[in-house]
Amino acid sequence: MRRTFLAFAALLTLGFSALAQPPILPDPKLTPGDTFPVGRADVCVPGYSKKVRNVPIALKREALRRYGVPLGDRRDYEIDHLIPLALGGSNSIRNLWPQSRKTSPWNAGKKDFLEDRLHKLVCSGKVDLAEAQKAISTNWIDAYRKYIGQGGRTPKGEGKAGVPSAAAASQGSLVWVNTRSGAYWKPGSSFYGKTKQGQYMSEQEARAKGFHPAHGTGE
Amino acid sequence: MALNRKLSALVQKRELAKSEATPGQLSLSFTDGSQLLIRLASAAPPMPGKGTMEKVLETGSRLVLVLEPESRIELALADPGASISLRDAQGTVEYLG
Repeated sequence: MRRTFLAFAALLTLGFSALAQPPILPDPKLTPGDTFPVGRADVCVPGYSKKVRNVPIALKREALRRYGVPLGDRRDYEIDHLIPLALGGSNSIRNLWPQSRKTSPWNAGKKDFLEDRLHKLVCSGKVDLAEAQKAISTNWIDAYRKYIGQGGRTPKGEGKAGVPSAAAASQGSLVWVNTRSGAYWKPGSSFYGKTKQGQYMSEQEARAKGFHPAHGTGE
Repeated sequence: MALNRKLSALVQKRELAKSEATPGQLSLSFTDGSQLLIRLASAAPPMPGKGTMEKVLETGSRLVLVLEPESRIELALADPGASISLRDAQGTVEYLG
């Protein structure tokens, strides 16, 4: 009886430790990355990603299952395209993995920032599409360090005038205010830095200006 | 089977001009110059010579093209999420999935 109890306790501990440390990199066997047969001329057309975003719920659940993420924890994860759609990635299960929104410093928000940067570099002709696809699918954290910098700082002068740099925001010190709706988002949330209109500021400043946390929590 | 709303809305009313099956791929050309390419896990079934697209159904790796009048083509996708490509007459991406 005692042995059974100990075995159960050990299994429970293993389960909790697995949940406590979500992967910050995908398993290359489960998620090697996959692309559509497209080129730079395709992915740089405005609206391209929206046209090709097709991930059925069944496929999202399969990605969670493969990584052992309980369905109840799905809100803590983004089903991420390892090679983003904007860089020609496909919706195949081989390109999907559950990426934590909450791990620090490497999380879904940070990868989204890298994806935006790489897309701009590809479309401006500074980086080859195949090179960007390879870099982000091999190790997105190394790619982040290469194309953005250690700790996520943007090169001097690249930030928008009058706005704290997105990289500073990605450090977790600032919230993203959707100036149209009046709601603000915390780092790692779905719409952090994503809405058409908005700006970064401290949470204290956002509250002082009358903005409110999205969905009550900003997450 | 579930309706693929996005693809159905795009191809609805397009008239089939030509179909071509090669091992692992089915190519449908429409009279407006657009082309639908589908990567297959198995051989393509016989295709009707004429028809107008009505809707597309999709569940997992199964895809069904419904054409008017009364044709139903069942296909097995090679890799769900990365097997279908629709481009317009100018070659611009309309749909990938």
